Amino acid sequence: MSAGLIVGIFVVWFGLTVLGQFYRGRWFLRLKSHDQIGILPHYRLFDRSVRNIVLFYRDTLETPWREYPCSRKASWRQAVWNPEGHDCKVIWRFLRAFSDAYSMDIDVPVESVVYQGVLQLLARDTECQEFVQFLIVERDREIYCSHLVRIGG
Amino acid sequence: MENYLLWTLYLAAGANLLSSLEFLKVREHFRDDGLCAWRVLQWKFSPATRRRTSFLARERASSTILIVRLVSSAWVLLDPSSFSALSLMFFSSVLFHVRNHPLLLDSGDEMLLVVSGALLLQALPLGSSLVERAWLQQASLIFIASQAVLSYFVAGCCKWKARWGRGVFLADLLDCRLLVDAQHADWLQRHSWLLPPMEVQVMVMQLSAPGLFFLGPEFAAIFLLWSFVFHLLGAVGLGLRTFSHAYLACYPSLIYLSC
Repeated sequence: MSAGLIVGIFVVWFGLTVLGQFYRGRWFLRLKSHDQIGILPHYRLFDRSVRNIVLFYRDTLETPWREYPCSRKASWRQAVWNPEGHDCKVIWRFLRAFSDAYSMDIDVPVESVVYQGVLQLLARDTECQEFVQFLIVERDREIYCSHLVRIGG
Repeated sequence: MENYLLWTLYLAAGANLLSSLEFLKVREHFRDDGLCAWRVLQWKFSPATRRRTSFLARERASSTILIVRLVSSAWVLLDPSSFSALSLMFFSSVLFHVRNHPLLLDSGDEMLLVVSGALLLQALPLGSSLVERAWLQQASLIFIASQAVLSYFVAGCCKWKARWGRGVFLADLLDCRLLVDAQHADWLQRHSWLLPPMEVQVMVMQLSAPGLFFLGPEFAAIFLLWSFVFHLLGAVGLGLRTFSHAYLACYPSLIYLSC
């Protein structure tokens, strides 16, 4: 009986995962919105083009734009151990989320994850001390240009 | 069958251990002034959820969760039959995912959580008979293998639909220097005739995954070697290390399925 219950859980879990790959019904989307941990994964790996998104910044309105300094260095060691890889991945995701929101005409509130994330990033990795303005460019097209904002404000 | 399950346990615990060690190494991300500070990530939650999950806020909470995950993974490696160790490994992973999914984690972390969950479910001490226990172990192996096959096949179908095979997608990926190594990307861009066959072979490999259900161990050997090279290059070239380790943990189940 108990073993049957566990097998039932496996069947339902797998069934929901299969459904999640293509079904967009309202009840399922509501269920998926409660999945905060990715227990029902989406397996569409690299189904769209990877977007070349670049972040520029400056600390006053008069200074020229500078490109955010981040690029990967590959090595065989990274097949086992790659803590620094998380940096580039997170940065790219912040920028992609920004770009996604703007391509759908959704305003990104200044207190959102992506906005705050980009500010944290610039505060950590650039010489900007007090103020920063940032510009996100995708395929040579301007996606978003912020106001001059106070870092950590 | 027990050997297949044991290897799945070892590989999943090893992947969880390495992932926890890596995140502990970059724990400055979780500080109040870090890239993934709580004041940044909390905005993904509704106000009610934010209040309920505020105990995950501080760097200390994140580090504690990671240390529990690290120790429990090591415990699973030393004693794979320990239900307590498996539970701790799974639930500390869940807490870590609650705080950091999806910004810091990707599909590899999701697959690892699925594998860890399946391993925990088959180990539940329900007082079942030996026959039922064997049945549960078999069910968990089939579940893990089915998830892996599904993931490859869905990824392959999406690539087919998006008309992979022209070299366009890899060329776009090589342009994105946040994700790829500049030196290797430059080399591949100079030899761009390699890109279409590279795209085709990835898509064919992924679309052929359901063959593991009915084409026997010879096909499984070819498929696993092929996908191993794919994952190894993904880990080195694109930094998809957890992705590779999570799928490696599915290999014993895939071998069991094909035999």
